[in-house]
Amino acid sequence: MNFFKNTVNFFKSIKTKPLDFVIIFLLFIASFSTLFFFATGSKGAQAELRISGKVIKTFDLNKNQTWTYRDKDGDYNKIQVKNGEIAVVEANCKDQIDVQRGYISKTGETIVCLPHNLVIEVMSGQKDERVDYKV
Amino acid sequence: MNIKEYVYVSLLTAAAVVMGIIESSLPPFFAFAPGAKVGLANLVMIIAVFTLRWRQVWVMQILRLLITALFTGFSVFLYSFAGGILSLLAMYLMKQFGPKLVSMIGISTVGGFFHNFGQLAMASLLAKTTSVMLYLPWLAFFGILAGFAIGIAGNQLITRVKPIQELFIKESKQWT
Repeated sequence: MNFFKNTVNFFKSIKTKPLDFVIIFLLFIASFSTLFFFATGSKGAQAELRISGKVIKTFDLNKNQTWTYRDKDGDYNKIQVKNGEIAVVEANCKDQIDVQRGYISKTGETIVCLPHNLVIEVMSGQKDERVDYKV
Repeated sequence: MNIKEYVYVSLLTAAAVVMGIIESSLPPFFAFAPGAKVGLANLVMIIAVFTLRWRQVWVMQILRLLITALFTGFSVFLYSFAGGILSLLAMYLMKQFGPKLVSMIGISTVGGFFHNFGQLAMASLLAKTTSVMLYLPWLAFFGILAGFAIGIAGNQLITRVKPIQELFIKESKQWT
């Protein structure tokens, strides 16, 4: 009871209003709707490497391999396929978000490297199941 | 606009640019949420929202984005542009509710949320894949936390730092 009172007093002291929480809560719930619209599926068999939306290479996830993407400016992303999973293990982009993402294997999952305009997306590998993403 | 306002707008812009550069050179805080940031530049924007007229705030935001782009490059500019414009638009709409219904902290939190939303929307547009949006709930959670913290900090700055308080425009007095 005391804890509840203290919490209410804290929010009063920093001058929040009830409508703040209503709007923030609604926005947070709304952000989960993306999960229903763009949900990921089961384990995929293929992964596509796209640069600025163009497919450059398709990886077979059942074959262990390492491949390095290089562009004209000397930027590179070292991509590794291992035990049905794919990851960017090394890159020279500034933020390293693609490397931190780690291994992915489910259909619809992506690794994005914004500085290099690079996207790796896991696909089911069966043609009829493929979804055409048009933005 | 008199000379005092010109100086104030340029000072705020410079502060926001420096905050943005400092933040982009820091290592990421949250290893489990790549891309999540505190948004120090947002702190300056919150002060601007409550001490400047809207036209000046927009000018300032666009100036800030352009100047920061000189340091970060074009691809980063596109993301921060989408995030910056969308978050300012959201803060503008939120502020229309008035001081009786919403607070400075709420406005800042909504701004933080839409900053992340704008960046992800831009990312899925440029990368031509919608699956980037799956990341939204996770990033939105941190955006809301960061916006909340920035809101509290902004509130304290505005109420306690005298020079800022003196610059408070008349219409904004009721917010504190």
